[in-house]
Amino acid sequence: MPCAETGSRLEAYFDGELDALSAAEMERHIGECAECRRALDDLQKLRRSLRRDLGFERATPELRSRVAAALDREAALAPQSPRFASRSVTRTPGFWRGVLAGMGGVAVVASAVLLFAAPIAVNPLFNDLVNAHVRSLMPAHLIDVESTDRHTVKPWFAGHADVSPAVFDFAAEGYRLVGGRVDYFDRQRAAVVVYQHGAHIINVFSWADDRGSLPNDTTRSGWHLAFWRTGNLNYCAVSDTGWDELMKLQSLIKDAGGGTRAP
Amino acid sequence: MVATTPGPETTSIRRDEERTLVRLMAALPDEHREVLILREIEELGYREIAAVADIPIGTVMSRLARARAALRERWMAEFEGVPDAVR
Repeated sequence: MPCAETGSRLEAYFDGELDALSAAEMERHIGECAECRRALDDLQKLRRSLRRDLGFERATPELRSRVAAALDREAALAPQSPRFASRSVTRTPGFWRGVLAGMGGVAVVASAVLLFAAPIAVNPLFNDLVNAHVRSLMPAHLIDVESTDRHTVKPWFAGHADVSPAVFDFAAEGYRLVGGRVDYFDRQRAAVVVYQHGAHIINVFSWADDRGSLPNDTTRSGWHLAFWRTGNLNYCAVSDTGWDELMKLQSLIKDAGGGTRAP
Repeated sequence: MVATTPGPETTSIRRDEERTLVRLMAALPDEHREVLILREIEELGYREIAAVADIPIGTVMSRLARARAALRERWMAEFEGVPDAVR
């Protein structure tokens, strides 16, 4: 005899869509109903599997543009909550324009870029990443969506970037989620999750790469670049923190993401 | 959150499950796959899914329930058990 509560109502509870009172009732019921506990467990397993095995699947461009349009509509209706950036997020890759505009206030940063621009025969990806990181540190460039709530940041990427990366807040571990941003490089809109660790900003870039090429960790002009791969997504954390701190964030993200898949 | 590295056997089972899940998802009707991706992968709420899919919230709920049931059923037919994601 199936329980009357299983089905949409249990799923609404599972999806966090019930109001507090109904959720409390449902919790009481689940405590007494083995069938609902089993159903809840199944839902959880299905979700874990989908996130693990399809979490890096790109939604079709058509679906993505509909998500973007819907989110923008919502942002227009309620500009305060959640805080979606109203400006266009697809930027030109022209980095120098950004440098020239921000040069006055950020002389130190500019000189770091000049130092960096000189070497030859480096992986162009390093340039892209360091440039994007440096540009992000200029006023008003760091984040497109400002939130410490991963449930705001993650859906925002759905509409604005070409990939759907892992987003978590590790405030308890000292890595506070600040927000998200979209950067254009490697011919796609890469998702950037921004963390703050002490006085340091850490940009965690993620982009799809079907070639499977992943550079080794490196240091460029004082910025550390730590690379890893999960599913078909490449990740790179860029910061001027120490290596240990960067590696700690890397393992936090990997663990929270359900572990890496075999290459 | 288990830090141990899976053995070769586990890895091969995992890959098998992964391929199966991708195949089953691809075989779902478009409208089912859409709500599943929006809810489980993109982590949108019902209201947001309703806006994206342009359907009432009630339809989001019933469609999501049908999609989950269909995927679960097809999975059971393949493996005689719900995916065991915890490892």
